[in-house]
Amino acid sequence: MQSQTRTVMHWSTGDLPQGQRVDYWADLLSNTLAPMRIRSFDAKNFGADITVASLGEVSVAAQSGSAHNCYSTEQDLGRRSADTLHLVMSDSSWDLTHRGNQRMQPGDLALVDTRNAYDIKTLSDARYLNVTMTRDWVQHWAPDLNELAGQRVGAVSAWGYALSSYVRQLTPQFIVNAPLPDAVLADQIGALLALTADGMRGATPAAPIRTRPLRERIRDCIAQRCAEPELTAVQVAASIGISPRTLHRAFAAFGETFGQHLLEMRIQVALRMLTARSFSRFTTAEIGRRAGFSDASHFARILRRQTGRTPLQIRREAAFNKSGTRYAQLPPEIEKGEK
Amino acid sequence: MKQVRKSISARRDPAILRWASDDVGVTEGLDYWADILSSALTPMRVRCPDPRNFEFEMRSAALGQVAVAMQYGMAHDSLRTRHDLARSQERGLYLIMSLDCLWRLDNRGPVNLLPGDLILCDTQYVHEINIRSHFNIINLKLPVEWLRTWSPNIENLAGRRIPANSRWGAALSSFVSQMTPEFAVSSPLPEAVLVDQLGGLLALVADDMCGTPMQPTLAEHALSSRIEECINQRCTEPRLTAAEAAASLNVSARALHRALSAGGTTFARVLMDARTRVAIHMLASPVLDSITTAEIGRGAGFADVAHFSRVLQGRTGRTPLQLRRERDL
Repeated sequence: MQSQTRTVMHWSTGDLPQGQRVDYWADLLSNTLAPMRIRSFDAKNFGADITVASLGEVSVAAQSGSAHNCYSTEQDLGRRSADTLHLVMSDSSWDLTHRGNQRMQPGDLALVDTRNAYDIKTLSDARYLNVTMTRDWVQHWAPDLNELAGQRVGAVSAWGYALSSYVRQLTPQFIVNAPLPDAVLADQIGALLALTADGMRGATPAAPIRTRPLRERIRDCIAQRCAEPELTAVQVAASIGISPRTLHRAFAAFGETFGQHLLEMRIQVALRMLTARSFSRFTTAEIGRRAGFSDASHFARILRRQTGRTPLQIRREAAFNKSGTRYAQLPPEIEKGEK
Repeated sequence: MKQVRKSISARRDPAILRWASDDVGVTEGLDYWADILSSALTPMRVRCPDPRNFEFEMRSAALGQVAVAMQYGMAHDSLRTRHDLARSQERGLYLIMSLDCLWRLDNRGPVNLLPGDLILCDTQYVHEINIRSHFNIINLKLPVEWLRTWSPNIENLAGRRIPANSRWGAALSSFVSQMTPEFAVSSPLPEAVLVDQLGGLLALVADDMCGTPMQPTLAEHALSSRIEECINQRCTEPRLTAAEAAASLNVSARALHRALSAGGTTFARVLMDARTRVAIHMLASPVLDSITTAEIGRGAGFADVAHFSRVLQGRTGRTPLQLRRERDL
């Protein structure tokens, strides 16, 4: 029933006798998502399947199947093995009871926090997209999402709408062949969650950009400009309106230099390109140039010193992790309405 | 209420620059607008039907290395000719999105744009912009070196319409609609994070529009849907040909025709379907009520009014005007 590749998993109730399907499905979702019970409105004809792709701390599951009700009490959730939050979206309308009642329309996104009981009900065949995030990861981005849980995310603010539009495209089928590294795709969710939470509060942010510590502002600027091959400390200082001396002092206080930060940022940018499918047709030398390294051997040397690997090795490993054979093994999507 | 208060206090923020026709009076407004565009963006000229009566406002702020501008103004054209090209030194890339008007940009071929659609304008080519009504436009200046680390091929992206209702286009459009100068100076996240979000979304859009081919079997299998997606994206270009659509997908015109005919359809039919969908969408939008149906036909990529009317009647059994009126029933 399970076919597994490196990062995509697929399960289906298809091969099971009808009598066992609902229980199997409840066990499966309890293990892959969060503890829950399933009530089917038509157990004799129940069928469902799920495809899961991982982005590291975040994973995305696409489910499709018969109408059903899944719910979890706070007692059930006490047994959960991982502390997670979920973004849930469906192509049909559904009812969510989670810190209140909401009628969700197709394409609406909801945040479910597994600290609290929830109840999800669909009356027709439906597909669901479920983004599972660990609490630690979420808190790194948005420390307090209390107000958001149980709401229609797209309706709470314009940023919530941006988050919904983003999640809608992030299917497991997309992830297996995505042009960007996993962490970049996951970080978009984190940043949009942070903006949504902030937009909900509507208050002035705690730390507007210009009042953040100087060292962070300099790092921020280097991160954005490091692809310029001739970038100097003088230019960076000028673009945030401080003197070069102040810039060097800000780093020296931590025993650091401008050069170290510049190299570190260039390496991050280069790693992102080396592990991205959209850059797979470029030579590693060209990637080094685009990241701001003036010559290829310098690039390879620095990368090796920092990561212990050459550009080619990094690229090969990334390609191996996103092995090309997975597409063939990916199950065809179950068409809605098919049993 | 909360929002109003926020924007008033933000407008006083010294980090936001503001220029407006009220600085000089409406009679000088157009010349002032031309000066602002040429100095703050890139050398160009402007013209408008009533040059002695032109109102505009532009606010701008830095979001790290991205310059965020919000422009409001009246109907006008702006042109950047070969002569202007010679006057500017550095290459500029502008991601432009209108919040409320139909407009046209010819940067690498004429493209009609709807509210929410995005386009990347590249100053290494000439351009012409036609705006026929009052407008609110968000204009983001993107650093070239930075964009090259996100999008392998900027040339494929420049001058092409990124539809607000396409897959990743929708995600980018809803993100950019929040990129106001007021937001830029009060964002809760570090600038580099926001700028990278923009880069990531542009990379996803670029891959959607002209990405590297997938594995051969899948690519073959998916060619006709890729062609249809491409036609959907580019249908508002009035002069779109099968050869151009094929070129942007890196396939031959023959392969394109073969793939479509295997699916029992033709390039012309898919193109007319796509333009019809765009036109129906526009006729259904109350925001565009002040625009004539003829203008909507042109906006959707139809060459002339009679043809537009004929195609719509052939497909829906109703004239453009009837379609618009039915909405209100």
